[in-house]
Amino acid sequence: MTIADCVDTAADAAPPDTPSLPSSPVRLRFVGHRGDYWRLMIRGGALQAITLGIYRFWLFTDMRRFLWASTEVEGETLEYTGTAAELLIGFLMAIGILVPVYALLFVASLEFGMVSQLSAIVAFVVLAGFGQYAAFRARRYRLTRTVFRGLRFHQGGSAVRYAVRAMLWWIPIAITLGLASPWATTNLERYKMRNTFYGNLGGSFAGSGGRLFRRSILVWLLVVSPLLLGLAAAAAVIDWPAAARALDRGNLTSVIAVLDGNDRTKPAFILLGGAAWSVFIGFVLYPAYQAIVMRWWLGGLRLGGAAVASDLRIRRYYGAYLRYLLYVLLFSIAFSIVGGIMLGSGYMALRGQIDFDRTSLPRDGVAAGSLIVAYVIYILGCSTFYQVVVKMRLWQVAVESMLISSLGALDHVQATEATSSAVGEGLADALGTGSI
Amino acid sequence: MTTTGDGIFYDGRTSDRRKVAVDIGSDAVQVSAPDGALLAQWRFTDIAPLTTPAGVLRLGLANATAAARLEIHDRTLAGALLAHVKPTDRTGLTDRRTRVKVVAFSLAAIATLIGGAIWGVPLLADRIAPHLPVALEMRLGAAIDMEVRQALDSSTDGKAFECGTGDSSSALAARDAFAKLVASLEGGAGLSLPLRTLVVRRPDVNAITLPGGRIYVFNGLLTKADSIDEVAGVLGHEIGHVAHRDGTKSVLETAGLSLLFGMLLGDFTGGGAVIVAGKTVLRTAYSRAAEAAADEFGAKLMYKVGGDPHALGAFLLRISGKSGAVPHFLLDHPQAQERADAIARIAQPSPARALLTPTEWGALKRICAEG
Repeated sequence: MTIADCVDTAADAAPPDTPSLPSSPVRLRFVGHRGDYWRLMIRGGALQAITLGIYRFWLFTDMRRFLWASTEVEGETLEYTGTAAELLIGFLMAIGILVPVYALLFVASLEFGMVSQLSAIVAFVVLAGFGQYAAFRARRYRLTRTVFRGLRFHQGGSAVRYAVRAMLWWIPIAITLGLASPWATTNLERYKMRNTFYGNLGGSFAGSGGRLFRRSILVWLLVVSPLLLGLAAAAAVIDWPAAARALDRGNLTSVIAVLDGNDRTKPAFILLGGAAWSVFIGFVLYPAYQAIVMRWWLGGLRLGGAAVASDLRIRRYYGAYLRYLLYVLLFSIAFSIVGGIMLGSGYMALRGQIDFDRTSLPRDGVAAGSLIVAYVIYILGCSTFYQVVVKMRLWQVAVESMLISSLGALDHVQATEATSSAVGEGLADALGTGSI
Repeated sequence: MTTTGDGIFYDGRTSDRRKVAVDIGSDAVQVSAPDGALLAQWRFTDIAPLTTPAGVLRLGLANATAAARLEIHDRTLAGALLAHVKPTDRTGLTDRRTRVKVVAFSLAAIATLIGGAIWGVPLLADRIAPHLPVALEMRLGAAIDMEVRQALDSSTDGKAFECGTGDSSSALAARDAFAKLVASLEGGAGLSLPLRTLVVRRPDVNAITLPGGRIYVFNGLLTKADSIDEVAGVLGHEIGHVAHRDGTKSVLETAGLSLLFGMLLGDFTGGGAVIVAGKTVLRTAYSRAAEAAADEFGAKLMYKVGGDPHALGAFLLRISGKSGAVPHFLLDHPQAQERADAIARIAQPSPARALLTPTEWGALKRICAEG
């Protein structure tokens, strides 16, 4: 979107709303045009492919600018002031930090080589800790680049402390098969929001773990119960003495044979069946779970006296995902047709130069090259659909579900000085823990 | 032309929203409160237009730490003001230029990185590997050894993976013959670390070298070989890998490639295929170079210890059979004919002294005959 677009349509725009009374809640609006986002994402996808991913810093910056500018609070939109150059530099600095870490982990795994499985776990924990650290610092970067009414947000707190806290929560989560996760989320959100500031106005988080637990327990039960039932049923039919003997021998084949059972008892089949049902139900219920958590999370956000409430509907999430599936289906059909035509015409055109019946460097080069190009186009296409049809839509749905009461608390806030580097963003990018 | 109108002003110090009067002067815009007090005077050259949804012109000061903002909702006033502000990106031209620059910069970066991958990575690995302590390479070898044994030991009949470990006289003779062969080659090679050579129970015609001087000769190779010089030639080649520290080099090269393809390049959805393709082509190129160097080392070693250097070339041609099913750029070894030709070029006429007596050679061939 260019500045000229803004000016040309300025006449159509409604005059800014007059600030409402403190008592009446204000609904947030999403004012972006989907077409602009489509254009941005398609162009960005193509440029990412050409530049082997280097363009992503510019694309992410454009995406955030769009999403921030599309989010309107009482006639005033958010503004993203980060730049792609900051992200690029942050990424390069993160590489400078991570390469020695990887090298150290490698040497450590050699030093303690006897227990190579253990060293893999240590490496995983170290990198996951880095990921949490990076996520917290990336949040700080994004907040300091968010301007609303001429003031910046910022974030205090310690990323190290946050990472340690997040990692410690994994223990109860693992032990309870995820049942503790609502309390973990609450605790971490409290830490993040307590350290979030708009000017000199501090944030807080009012969501409660018990509440999220009650809202999401049904999803958990539906997902986990097939797995547990499968385990119980398999345990009932398994030939335990034979299993003990097989474990004694330490032979993998005989352990598998015991799990395979006989014609009547098929423990492995029951186990896999239960697990497959769990995965399937998890897949089906994922949008519902996402919506439940999002609504709960939005409803817990506080900034000074201003409080957010959300009336997010689960069906909106399903709508986005179903539309995505439909688009991918149509895209796949179109892709096969166009791809088939191009393959055919390419074959006809090159048949004179290349003997396609015999192995040769040109034949295999052309085949491998076109396969890679086709794969990249298809996957990038699907990812672009996902970004627009799911990610942007979910952002929009979340924004439009928000009602802020006592918005007057955001008047007369004083500015404070705060800046931060984009190293956290770079780390998060390199470790794959980044988000918009 | 409109030069005055209404706007909304945030001064960057508080979040207060002020309705203001905007007055466009000759080189600056003045922002005044309704009571006439001057709130800000921004020079056109300092002003930066900012992204907003359609219908609003939002301006800020470039290079300012405070985020003071002036918003104008009046179309004509916004147009008049924009005419003064530089750079006015009315058509998105600046945006397009930035994108072209980014793409050009990226392509240059990609070219540099790929050049680094082709020449820089093997060069660095060559320079660094000799300086790494031998102890580190031995540890690396021990770690890889466990995994290789698990992967290769496919015996289900309870026979030991390693051949010639029995107490019988034939096992003893086979062991002695193998030790004699290895000793004469090792003596000529002048290595910085001791070799650990084994014959293992595998039907493939192959031999592998792990970091830290571990060489596994597969039994299939002994079965297929017609003369001791063919086995010695293969061993000489593998000792070449040990001397060149190719195991350590390959770890360094893999790390370098992962940095270039994966961390710096290819990090986008669908980039996985590009990463795999790039890594495969480059790794096999490194490997072909290392194999050719090992062939050269082996041929010279054979000449030095008095074996027939040409035997390896002939052996390779005999066992290669119907190769050529894989395109050249995906081969990790050069083609057999290429290798035989290269060996023929390197090797001088050999004095052809027998490395093992016919009896010893016979014993070695049967090293895996018993459990």
